Amino acid sequence: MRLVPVLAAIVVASSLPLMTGCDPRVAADTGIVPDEGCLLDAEHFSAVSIEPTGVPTVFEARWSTAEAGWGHAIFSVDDAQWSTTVEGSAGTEHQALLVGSPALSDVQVRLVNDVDGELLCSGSYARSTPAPPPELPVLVLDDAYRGAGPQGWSLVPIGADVTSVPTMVDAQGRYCWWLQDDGYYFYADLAPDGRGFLLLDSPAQADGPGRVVDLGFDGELRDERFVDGAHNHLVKTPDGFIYVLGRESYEVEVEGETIAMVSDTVVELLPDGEQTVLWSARDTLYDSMYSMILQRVAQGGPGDLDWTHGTTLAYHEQSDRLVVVLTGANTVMGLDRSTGSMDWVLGGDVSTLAGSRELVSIPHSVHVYDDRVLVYNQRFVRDGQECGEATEITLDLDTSSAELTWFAREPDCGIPDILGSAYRTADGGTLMAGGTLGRLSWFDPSGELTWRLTGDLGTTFGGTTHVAELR
Amino acid sequence: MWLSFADPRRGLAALALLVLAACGDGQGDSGDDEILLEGDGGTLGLEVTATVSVQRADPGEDVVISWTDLGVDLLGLPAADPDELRLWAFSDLSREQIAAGVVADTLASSSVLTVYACQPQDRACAFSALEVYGHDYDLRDDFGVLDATWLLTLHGAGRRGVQSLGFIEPGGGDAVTIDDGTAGLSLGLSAGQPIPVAVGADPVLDWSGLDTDAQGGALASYRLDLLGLFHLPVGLGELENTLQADGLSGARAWWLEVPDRDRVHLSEAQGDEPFGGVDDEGTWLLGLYSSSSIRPLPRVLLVLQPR
Repeated sequence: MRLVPVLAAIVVASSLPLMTGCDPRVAADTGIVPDEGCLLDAEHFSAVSIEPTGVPTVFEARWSTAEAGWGHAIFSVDDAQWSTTVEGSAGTEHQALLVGSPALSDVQVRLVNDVDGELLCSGSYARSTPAPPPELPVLVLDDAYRGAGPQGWSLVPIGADVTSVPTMVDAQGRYCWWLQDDGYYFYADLAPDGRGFLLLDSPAQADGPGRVVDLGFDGELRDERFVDGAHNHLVKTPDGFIYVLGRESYEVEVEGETIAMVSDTVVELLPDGEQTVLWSARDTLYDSMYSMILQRVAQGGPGDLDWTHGTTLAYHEQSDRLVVVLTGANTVMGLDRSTGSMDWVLGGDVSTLAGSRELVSIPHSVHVYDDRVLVYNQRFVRDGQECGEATEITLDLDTSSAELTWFAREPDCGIPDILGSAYRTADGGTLMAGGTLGRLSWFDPSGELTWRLTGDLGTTFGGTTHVAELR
Repeated sequence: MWLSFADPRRGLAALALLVLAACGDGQGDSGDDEILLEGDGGTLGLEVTATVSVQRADPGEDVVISWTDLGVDLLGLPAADPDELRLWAFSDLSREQIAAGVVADTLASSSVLTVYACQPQDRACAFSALEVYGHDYDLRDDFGVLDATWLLTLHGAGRRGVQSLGFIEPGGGDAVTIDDGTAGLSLGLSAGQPIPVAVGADPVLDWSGLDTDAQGGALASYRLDLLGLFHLPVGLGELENTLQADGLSGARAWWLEVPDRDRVHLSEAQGDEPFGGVDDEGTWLLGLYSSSSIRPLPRVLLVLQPR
């Protein structure tokens, strides 16, 4: 979503008649200013409807215009102003989805029609957004870190009141979007088309079906698939394929003892609905990790032995590779998407990249860009201090090597017991979600911690991503 | 083992008697038909002392936590049947610090390692039934393994919030029992501003303007999701002594769940008998709760003054 220049033609607007309309909530024309060069022409617009959707902070606007044109809407809250994407074709019937307004806000909306290069504006419509549900924790800016924050919206699943709710939070810590259902969501990603969330509702029972959810910003379910054993995370590629972390359960004889084990798979969902296992830890890593597995068996413990504990998937479009985080195996690895073969392994006992073994320590998320991976290491010892850390590692696949290029950790150091993630924002900053620490921190492009949100007792920030602009 | 802890933020002795002003900053332009609460709403200040017991549980056993005989909540009101048990693993905090943090609502997420939860069956939960964020989890991986202090909280149905609490620690014992004696609170009061309410009237109460709680902390009014009306058969001058001795055990109570609302008619609250408006007998109190808070008290507690 682009910021609309606030260089409005106020003189032009004020010289025109105030708009009138049948909507009783139409405000006096003193709200947001029209876009630059936009002529106020209320009579050009009719049949205006601006109503909340299934997500009460998101409004759908529909309107008709006297002449065909390309429509969009501009809307504002306080000093911030946004525009929806201009429609792709001209017409007299228009529609726009207004996404990004915070809860408990007064929203001013103006409709725009581009008629052969001449921008015509409606009057201003006033709407308001409700409070978030009481189950969501209050988020406050940490007094010590109230500086510049990530501009745009953080997509953050928030565990609170023993539920886990996908949300969208702005730089002031205000809820701008939330999903209320019975699901458990540990990661929140933008759908590839930028118009909704891509989520995985993890099953309560280990072998139960996980639910792949593609949800529009208006709350409409756009796609839903069920995959047995799917858990934690998924990724969708631009060609419409979806990959999810799956699970295999089996029994193995280990030194004369039958051990129940689980480990991860990557399941490929074709656009036509077909599902196939692209990769299996049991098939590819069991033998090479056998010594580690023996150690785990010796340690004992209740339940099935989950020796890979996969947590995150990512996709690197330039190389057409999937990147998988196996927290239990202390490993991040690259998979060829067409063959499922392991092209490289970062960290752990089976590392294939020189210099990488010490760079990964209980990894819990990965963000891939350029020739780098940004890993959230849940427990990383540096200079004798163990902390959660965002660790950027540059890969050189020609020389099969990896090197540390950047890291960030909070000055007051924290180690979440569950979850945690790191994400590189579009402006070069880094968003670190502190899992059960209940902190969401942003390091500016220079690496300084400048902004931190905290939630009240019991708040968990799951795998978090960020979007600077909304469509 | 017993521990008593007081809210450290209120070190002064409670006032022996409430000194109540006729009107003040806590209420907006209220009238017979509408009561507008602003700021702290004129809430009573609360000085809280918690008494919490410690029990032992064997880390190697599937310990059963039960509350069959729990009859009253921490303020002596009939307990709402708990629909959830939570087990909190705190790091780097003593039991004294945790109990003080519970009553002061000052505990931070960064001190929580994990929260385990259970939907009870027959007023009991076994360790094996505890889940983490809705997923099976074997507590034996953590209990007795993590260096943590363990707090149990019982959360009442109908957004009643924490009904009781207790500490457990690794040791012998295959059962943990929570009853009316496991934990308790003692309240001290400091002055608030009463809300004049016409006898027999049914005004609308609007709390959208509240932003400060009874502890003087910031309050997001949208998190208030339960309203309680209480009538005690004692005069205002006896209120503090009564609360300290017996809590609200002698009160008639009316409850109303109010998620997504900030305006209600008082008559919407439900009790054993219809609420017919305040009268000039005894003392009328109104509490607004946030069930998500671990603090087992109203976020604001108001005196309704019949007129």
